[in-house]
Amino acid sequence: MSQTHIDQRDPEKSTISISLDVGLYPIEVLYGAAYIFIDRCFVLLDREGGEGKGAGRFVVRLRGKSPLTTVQLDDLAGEFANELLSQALRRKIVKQNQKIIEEITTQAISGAAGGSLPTDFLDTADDGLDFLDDPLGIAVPWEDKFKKKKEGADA
Amino acid sequence: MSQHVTNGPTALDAQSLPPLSPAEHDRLLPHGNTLQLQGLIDPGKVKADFAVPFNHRAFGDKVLISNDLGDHAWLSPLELQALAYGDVASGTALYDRLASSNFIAATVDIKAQAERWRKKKQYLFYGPSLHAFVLTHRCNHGCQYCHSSIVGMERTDTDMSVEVAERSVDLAFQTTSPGVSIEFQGGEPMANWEVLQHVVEYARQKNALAGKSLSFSLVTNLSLMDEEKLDYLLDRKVQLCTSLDGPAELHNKIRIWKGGNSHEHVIKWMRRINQRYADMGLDPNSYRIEALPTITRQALPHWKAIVDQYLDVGCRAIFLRKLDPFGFAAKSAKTLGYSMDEFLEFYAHAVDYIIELNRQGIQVMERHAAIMLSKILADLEPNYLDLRTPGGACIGQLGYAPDGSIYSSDEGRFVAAMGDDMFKIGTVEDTYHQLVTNGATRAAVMAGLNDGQPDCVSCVYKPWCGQQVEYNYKTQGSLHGRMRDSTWCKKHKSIFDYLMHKVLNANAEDLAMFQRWTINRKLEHFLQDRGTL
Repeated sequence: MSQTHIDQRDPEKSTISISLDVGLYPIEVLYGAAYIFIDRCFVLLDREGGEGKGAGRFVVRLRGKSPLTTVQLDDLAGEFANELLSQALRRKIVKQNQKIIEEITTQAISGAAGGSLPTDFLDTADDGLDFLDDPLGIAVPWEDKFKKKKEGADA
Repeated sequence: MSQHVTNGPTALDAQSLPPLSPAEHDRLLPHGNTLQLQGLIDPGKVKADFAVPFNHRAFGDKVLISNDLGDHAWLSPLELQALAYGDVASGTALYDRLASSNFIAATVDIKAQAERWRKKKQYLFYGPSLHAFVLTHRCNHGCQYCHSSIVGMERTDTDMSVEVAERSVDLAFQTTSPGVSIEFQGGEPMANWEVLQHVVEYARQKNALAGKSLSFSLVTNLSLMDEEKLDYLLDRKVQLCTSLDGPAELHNKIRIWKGGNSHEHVIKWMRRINQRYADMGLDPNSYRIEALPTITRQALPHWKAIVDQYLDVGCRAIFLRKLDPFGFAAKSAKTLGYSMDEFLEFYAHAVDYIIELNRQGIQVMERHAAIMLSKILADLEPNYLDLRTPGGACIGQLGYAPDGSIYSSDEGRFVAAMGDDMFKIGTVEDTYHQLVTNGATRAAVMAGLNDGQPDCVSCVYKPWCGQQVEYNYKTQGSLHGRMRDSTWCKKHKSIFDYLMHKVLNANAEDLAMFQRWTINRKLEHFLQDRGTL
């Protein structure tokens, strides 16, 4: 199976399912792309197949809020794939240019605020830029969490 | 009507032009291309520390390069190769040319360039200077493309109250910007005339202490103008701006006014206001009522008639404004809308005509072109909020609604008018400090930075371009959007391409014309006296 694939399209239900290799995109990118579509579609994210981290496939089911033809469904899937790529690339660019983005944002806000930023501004800004990190493990698939716990318990 | 009509359709009964073939389109709108580096640049030979980081774009046998400082140079492919390989000998003409435009790392005067960058980016050191006051949602026109949430003239409940107005002025004066520009908008802002006057008087009073560079502008359809009101506006140095969509048939078709002939009324008052400026001894080359057309599908074939109409009424600058994706314009896109290619063809036709007029000695310019050329040719930063990075949302402008809501910008409140408060950053009950430091402001700033945007980071137009987060959100669903298939990017990149092609092929006279367009005439008259009443 290709890395990103249309699994199913059902014009009667205005639904299309896409699956993608778990290792292809970080889950935050998947969330970011999915969110963009919630005004047009009902979005269901799932995961199937494979064992452990990096195995299996993410499944994205998009159901149009209004009736969609086969062509429109294919366009929707294509647009979703484009959004995934765009989010992934932007994530990389933001990481690369993090320092300059932080500097300019801080200067712009402090310039507007008259130099007196809230005491937690820089920390908050860091949090904003590191939104792709997941210190609480919220984005960790439950299978992985469960597996780790189970392994820990076994040990 | 002026006599300089030389080409193009002459009658408004031409409702459409035949579509251009791809070759005709390319001739009208020459575009740059991604440079094919394969075979030209061997990655193993690149001397990374010789040149400062630069982006590039191919124009036939020339390559345009630019750096983050805003310099540019035209090179042949082999010269580009030499720059990449660090194989440009000191003392050669190429070396001097590249050094003088800050492309050779060893020759860059860091201190001087930092100062230059700081000067151009001074908007990073100040808060919002543009404060758009929506005085009312009432309007007596029913313009098919209106992006505001307008209501009938009887709905005085949608007027901004004196209390909200005063609180809005208080907030505006807390900006760290040395300039405060209050722009009255609506609806039709003159419908709330008492509050308009109150804002002017109250702000002038505050400025007696604040000593800011204070100015007022009024965006009006002129339908409620009379001599008494004009006396007041001129006396208080309120700059005037109106909408004029072109000749009568075109204007009245879209800008529907039950109270009369909108076009006739606008033209009458534009002439009257210009005459009053002249009577006041103001230079008629600089002091005229400003006007803006909104380009609809119906306008596309009439680029020449629109330019001629503007000249006829005394304008020397025209801002060819594309229909935006907000409000009624979004709802009526099927009847008024068009593709970006269609707009760009319209734009190129019109600017070609404007250039031709200049060659005949008639001085007129298009504002997009003037803003872009000011950045490229004159190293200026006109602080046009839509073409800077980060964009102007929250830190360059604020929008004040009648109910006391405060938005990231005028466009932010257009989104709100469509039922989405995404860009509401607070209310007049908040402190200024809260407004400019909150999470929404920070998100808008970060998303509006070219440095975090795929495509923008590698675009040759990066130092001169920018994004509008509200447009990204409305058209592509997120603050960041996707520039690769964004109509915003397509519009600006295409206009940059068109202009750079003109610059590349310009003779001395044309180049002088483009330089002339970059002269920013400061309209000192419209600044309120500092520290006095």
